[in-house]
Amino acid sequence: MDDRAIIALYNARDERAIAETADKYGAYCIAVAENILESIRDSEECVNDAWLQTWNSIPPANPNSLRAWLSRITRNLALNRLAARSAEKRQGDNCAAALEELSECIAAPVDTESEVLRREQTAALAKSLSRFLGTLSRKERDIFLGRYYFLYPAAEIARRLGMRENYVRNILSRVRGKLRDHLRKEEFDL
Amino acid sequence: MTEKDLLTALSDVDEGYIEHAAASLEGSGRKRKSSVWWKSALLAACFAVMLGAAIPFAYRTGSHGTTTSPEPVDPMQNYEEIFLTADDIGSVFNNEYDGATNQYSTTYTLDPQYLPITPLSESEYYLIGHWGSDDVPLDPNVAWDFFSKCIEAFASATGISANPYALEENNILQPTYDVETEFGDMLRFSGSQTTISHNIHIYYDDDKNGLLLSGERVEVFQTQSDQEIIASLSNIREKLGNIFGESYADTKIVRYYDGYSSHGVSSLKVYFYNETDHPMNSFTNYPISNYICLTFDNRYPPDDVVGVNNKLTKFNIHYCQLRSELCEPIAKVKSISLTEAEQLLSQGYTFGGHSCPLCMAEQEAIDFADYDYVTMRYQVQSLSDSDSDEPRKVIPFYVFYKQIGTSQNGDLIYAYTYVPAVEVSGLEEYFQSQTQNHAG
Repeated sequence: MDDRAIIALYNARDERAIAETADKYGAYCIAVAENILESIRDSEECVNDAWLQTWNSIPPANPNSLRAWLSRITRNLALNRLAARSAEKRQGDNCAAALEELSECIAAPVDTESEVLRREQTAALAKSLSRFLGTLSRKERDIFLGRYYFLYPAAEIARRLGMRENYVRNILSRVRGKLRDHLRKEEFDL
Repeated sequence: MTEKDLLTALSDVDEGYIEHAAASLEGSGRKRKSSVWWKSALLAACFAVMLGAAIPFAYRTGSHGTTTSPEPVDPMQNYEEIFLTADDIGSVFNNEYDGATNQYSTTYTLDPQYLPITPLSESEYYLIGHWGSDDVPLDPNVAWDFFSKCIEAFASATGISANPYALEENNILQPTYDVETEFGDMLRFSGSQTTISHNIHIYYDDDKNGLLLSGERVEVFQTQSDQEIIASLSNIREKLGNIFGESYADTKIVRYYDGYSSHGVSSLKVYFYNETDHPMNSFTNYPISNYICLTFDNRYPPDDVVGVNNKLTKFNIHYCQLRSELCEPIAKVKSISLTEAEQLLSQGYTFGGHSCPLCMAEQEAIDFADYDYVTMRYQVQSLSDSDSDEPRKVIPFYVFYKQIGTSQNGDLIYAYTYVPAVEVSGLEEYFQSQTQNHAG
């Protein structure tokens, strides 16, 4: 089904929207999550959360590219899940469980001043990154996003783009250097 | 800021970039890229036919030894615009002595009609490319199938059996799978699979009689015009195509003279290829898509063959079948007009002559203001300049020719020099730095 038709289903609050999304982008989103989580079970849960979040967001959201929208939501959910899993490992199961239990006592997350500041910085950084991506060639950009957005290993990017792995690594190294210069120029605290 | 902040912020970058990357990473790039290439080429060719209009060309003077199929396609809309600096341009040429110079190179020709002059384009943008950046793993099974089929087909066309042969793995300059054999006394076959291409060379070593290929003699007379040679070899083009499983519509002829010999051309190359197989083919010295090249060798003709009207029979067939793109277009750059290029020429912003200060000192200054011919040509960054981490650049230039004399054997001597055919920033600063380097 065409993306516009799927979005129309969301807008009409027709639950077939989720089935159509899962049918068209299920494997894609699983791949995005699995690159981050390296676990099929976690990835499937993460993608189910992504369907729910998409259902809750459209409307009012009206994405231009459903695929990019879904990859973003899935990626964020996967990164959050990964952070939680890492914290869990660091703090031990008991502590993680206790924190999770206590979190139920908080009605809703509250933006502290530092949290607001952090979000503003992230938004500024995202805008800067978009500007930076605009200076790259198409190939450099695809390789860079393949590695740091979709989190594919260099060998997998090389395979998918039909290139040598060394070539991909060289491009990544060069683009990282350019990014460092760009962020310094835009006065980010490195 | 931490790495995690960067990773998180990437989630919120422009979704157009994400969409594009997702599409690129979706499948097997090599196959898909090739398919898209063909589709865009065919589509553009269809448009050209529908509109009844080719890309407009500006002629100043000169001719060229080519027949072409419909005009080159213009897939510019598929590429992003980028901007080049004078450093980018200078890096294309050998920089052993700190880069390009404002000097020139020389060449010889019997007649200016044999200079490699092609009509100029008036396109608003030109493509620039990366040279041989991708490669394909070696595959001995593919190599064996490919070479053995070609050997059998060639044996059938000539009626001469090949000696026993085998596939050998080598690693001399690069890893390769090679096959060598002979057909009788006069023909030697050499095939090599590299990560970039399959190359077959067949050497024929008879100075008197052309090879008989399916009833047709492979020979040319150097006194023939390019058009006459193209017509006389049209059957050979088809027969060679049958041997190698190719079908080519276009022919390009390049003649080389040495400036001292009494027997005319030193070698004459005939390229069979399809111009539309690559959008940069129009302005390269040789095709950057698959091709068959017949190189007639006239460097050491026997004593009883003298003069410039001799028949050329000794040749080397080179069949190049690319396994990946030899030159991948990566972006487009805004072109400059011939008038703008002439201004750069008059300011001395030229590239690509001798890079050695000693040679430069020996060169007489030449005023290119009243140049004789101009053409456009893609130049590939020289290997010695290319940082191993960086793909070699392929950039278009105007090439200006001016006759500067006549050699003792009657060959005309032409000086030629390069001016970038695209907008470039920082020329003044670059040439100031070059002057300082060379003054030292």
